[in-house]
Amino acid sequence: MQDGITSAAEGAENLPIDWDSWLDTNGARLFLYARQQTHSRADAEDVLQDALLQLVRTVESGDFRGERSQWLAYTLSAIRHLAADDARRRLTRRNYELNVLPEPAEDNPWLRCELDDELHRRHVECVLQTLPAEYVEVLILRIWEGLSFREMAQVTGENQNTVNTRYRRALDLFREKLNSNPLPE
Amino acid sequence: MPPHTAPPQFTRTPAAELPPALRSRLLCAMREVQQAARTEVQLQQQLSSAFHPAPLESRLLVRLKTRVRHESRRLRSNRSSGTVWRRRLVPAGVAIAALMVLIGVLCLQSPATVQQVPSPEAPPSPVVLAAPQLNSTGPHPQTQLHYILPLSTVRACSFVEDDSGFFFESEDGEELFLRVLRFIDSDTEEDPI
Repeated sequence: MQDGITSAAEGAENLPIDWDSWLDTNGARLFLYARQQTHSRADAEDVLQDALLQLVRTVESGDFRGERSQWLAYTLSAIRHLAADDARRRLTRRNYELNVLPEPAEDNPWLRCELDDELHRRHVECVLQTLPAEYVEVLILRIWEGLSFREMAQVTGENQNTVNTRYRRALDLFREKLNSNPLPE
Repeated sequence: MPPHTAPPQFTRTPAAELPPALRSRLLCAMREVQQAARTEVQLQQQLSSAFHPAPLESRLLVRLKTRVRHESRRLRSNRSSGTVWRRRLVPAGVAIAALMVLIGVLCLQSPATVQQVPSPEAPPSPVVLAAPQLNSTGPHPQTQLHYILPLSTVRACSFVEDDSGFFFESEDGEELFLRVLRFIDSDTEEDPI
């Protein structure tokens, strides 16, 4: 992630970076991960914004060591850390925690169905949200963020073999739970 | 102490030479692994093609873009102004220091810094004149300072238009434009004019 040889800011020293188009391409994917990592949609928005600003600061200051293609993994990692900090803060504020319930997935869907099959989309989301959080995380990182196992290991801070095994187990469990309502072909 | 044992040696056996029962078990296991991998990839592809992350609301997208653009501009502006400052400050500092040294040297050498006092043989009754501002455009910059001119050395004088001063011409032909504060007659202490 940050262990590349070249500096992405080398070229960005003089040319302004087109952050708008980068956000157009990656915003939805990043937000999906932020949703999975946080308690509510509002928290996800805040965490995503902070992670993006962190990326901008790192890149614009020339401190980012790596290719431009690694910005996504960097931002996902920042989302993860910020969400963990946020969760830790919330644990110290028990009253707040007790009063805020998770938002129902129907109101704020994580996914959009290409085939306009709302039934399947709901089913997939329901199944996703019944899986352990660490399983959902690797499924999202692999399937919708398109990360390699090496990048997934960097984002989650786990060993690559652990991530690999976790992903296979998550997929097995996911398939089992989906069997009652198979996906459209 | 157990006797030293050599590590086990593995030999590669061609599949055709394996016992038939073991061979069929191995083939079965391989097929299962392949099938599992195929199913896994298939499910992954199904999911990624049928479902996509929900798009960002335009409200959120605008907010994020604005914040990111603002932060980027701020950092770039800070960086460039920092560079300009660094690039300009050093030569400017050197130039200012050199200028101050030069001014100091000139001040030490300039006769204008020395108040002109009448020579011992010059007669008394000096005229105390001052030329602080009006003659800044005058012909002689040194008239900015206070002068004490002996009256006897003054050959001619004339009023200038605003009556605020005089043109004096001393014996050595030096012409001065001075604003008169007051004349002092050492004997009478009266204004001779």
